[in-house]
Amino acid sequence: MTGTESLKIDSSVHAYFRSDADLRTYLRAPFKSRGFPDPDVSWFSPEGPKYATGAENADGSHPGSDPEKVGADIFGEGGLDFAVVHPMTGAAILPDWHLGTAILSGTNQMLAERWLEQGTYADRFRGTIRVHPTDIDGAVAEIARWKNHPKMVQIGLPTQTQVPYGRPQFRPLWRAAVEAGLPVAIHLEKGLGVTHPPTPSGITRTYSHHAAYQGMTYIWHLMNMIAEGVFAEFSDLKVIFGDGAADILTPFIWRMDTFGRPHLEQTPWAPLIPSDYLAGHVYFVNSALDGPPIDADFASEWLRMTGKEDMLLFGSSYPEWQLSTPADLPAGWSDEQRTKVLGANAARLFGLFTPALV
Amino acid sequence: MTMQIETDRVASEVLTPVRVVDCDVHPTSRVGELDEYFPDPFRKTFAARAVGSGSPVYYDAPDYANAMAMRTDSFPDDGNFAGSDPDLTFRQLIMEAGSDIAILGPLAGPAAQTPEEAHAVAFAINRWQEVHWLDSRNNWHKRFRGSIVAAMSAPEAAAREIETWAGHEYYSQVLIDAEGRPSWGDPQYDPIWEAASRHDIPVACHLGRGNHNELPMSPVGFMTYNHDLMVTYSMLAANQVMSLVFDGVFDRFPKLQIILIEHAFSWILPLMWRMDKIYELRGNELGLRRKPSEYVKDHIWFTTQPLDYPEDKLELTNALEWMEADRLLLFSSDYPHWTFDDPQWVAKHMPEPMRDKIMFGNGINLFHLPSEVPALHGQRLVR
Repeated sequence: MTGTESLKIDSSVHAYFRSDADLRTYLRAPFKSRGFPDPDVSWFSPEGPKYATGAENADGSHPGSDPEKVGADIFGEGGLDFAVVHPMTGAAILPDWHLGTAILSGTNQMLAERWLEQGTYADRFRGTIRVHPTDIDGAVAEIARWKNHPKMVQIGLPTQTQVPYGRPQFRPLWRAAVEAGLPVAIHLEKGLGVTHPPTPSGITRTYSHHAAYQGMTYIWHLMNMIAEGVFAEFSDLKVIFGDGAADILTPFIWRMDTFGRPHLEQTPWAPLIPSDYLAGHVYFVNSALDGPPIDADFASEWLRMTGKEDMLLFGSSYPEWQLSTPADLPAGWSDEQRTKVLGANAARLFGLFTPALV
Repeated sequence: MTMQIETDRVASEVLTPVRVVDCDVHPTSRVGELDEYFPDPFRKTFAARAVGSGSPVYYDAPDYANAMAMRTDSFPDDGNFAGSDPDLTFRQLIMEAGSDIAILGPLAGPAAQTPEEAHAVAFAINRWQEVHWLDSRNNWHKRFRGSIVAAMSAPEAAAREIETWAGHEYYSQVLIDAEGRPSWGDPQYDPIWEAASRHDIPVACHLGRGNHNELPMSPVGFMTYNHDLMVTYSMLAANQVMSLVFDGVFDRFPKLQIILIEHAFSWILPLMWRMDKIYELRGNELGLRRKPSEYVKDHIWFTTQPLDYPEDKLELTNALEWMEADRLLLFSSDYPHWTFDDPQWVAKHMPEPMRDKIMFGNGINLFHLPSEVPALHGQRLVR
């Protein structure tokens, strides 16, 4: 076993500004005085704590906004070696993409300055280049601005979009990601903005239903990207679905293959059987809502099926209420599977090696 | 190749055990056959719209221009559409494929633009079905069972339709579509669940393909091809399952039985885990009486077609055992659609201890079917 394989990596730690006023210090006119949603809104908020116990800051600033506190919790208490920080905003679903790109650009600046370039844990944090999916030119420019930053390891896009990610309008974005050598992480945006309802039947009646369902949204992006030939065209593109629900992949890719054979004649630009596009292209961050049950005796076999053991990345979602820890992962996994999910898969994907501080 | 038994149209007095209950069979009307059953003023409206109207198909199945999403051998010689000839359905499905009892799910009729139109279509199909499929001439063999078509967008009228037909000897289920908004946990649908529960008749749902935001449309916009649309269609059913469970429909209607037809089924295994997990993490904030997966296993059924199988058949066998498939599945062929699954082929894919329940046992119990039917000389026996 090499050093890389024994690394423990948290592939999804969520960063925030301290407050709305704090964010505005990273904006210029005319954006500085605009109105836009807070990351936390009451629409489909949990009726109870939004953030994990212990994640709050003494000064009342937003959970996940103090790199020293987050670093102490993740690396000290949690014993992890690296953490990929994914800032949470509502900017990537704003109808005004000028404003959205401005907020995301300020977010990237904040992330680099506060998390990646100074502080006790700067060597262990890695960053996400947040971009707006409507503003393809702006997104490509933002990727160009940050791609040579040694600590930026992925590009961040929202799960909620107006069209699925297989559409040709996104090609320049995938090209830029591949040329920068960075995977693309797709995660549910917070706040509020121009999104379709979260289910094909409209809004839900309860938070439980909403929260349990929304993590599966990636299925539409993935199936559409496969059929549209995105992975055939961009053979080096790597996509990380950050909302969990990797377990839903297995039945859907079975269906995509079985139903796909007779349909391949319609999509000669994606000539392989759909499941052939998964390995090396598709990754998932785990979530607290994922199955199977922690004590399932078939957990190891289930993780092996459809290659999930090589796709799954441990991620805590700190500081969200759905925080997960390595102790929440199914007990039935083999040692090798646990090593892969806890860090080996992420180490290879993000190019992370022995940490500076052990 | 008409057989003697079809000419005679007399059911044998010899009974044979039911070995296959086929829960997804599609009859359709011959050209013009449905028209007289539409109530006024809809008859004129539908007829006027049909004049000069061509194909409405988008998201086309493979080779659509030739096969029209049907088994190419299922078009009758009279030029009508596949599934329009009860005798041909009897011959190909009952005699040749070996489905013993066919639960008919008619998808005929024009696309309804209003709730009133949706009910008018349902009203017409129920009356047409009785005359053209379930009558003593066409159902002489007693192998066809019908569906009480009910318009989800018109719940009160739908409930009246259930009242009208429940108890009819050959109507075995209520048939609704899946695409309307909001999802099924909304109390506006309670009259339908109430009527079905009271009459102890299951409510089945087939894909219906609406338009616009009820196509269905995904949370990330529209899919591009029939391939990604139809695969992700199961996400609509997954949402309806969550709505039924989390919105307490089975607590309100403890006898209600739901059948999801052609929505695929292997996704229910991780979906049950997911529902149980949020239930546990949120501390039953919804006040449900049971764990979500228990509602699924006691109240929701899935038909086997389309059977999505992995390269390694053992993975399918394992998944069926982990989900307790004998508490969830009902065999279906989808005749006469192009995606037809042969009963003998499906039976072989079901784990032996579960096979009889999935192929016929669950169906007999759920639909209150006889366990024996008049024998048919020359029928293929699925074993």
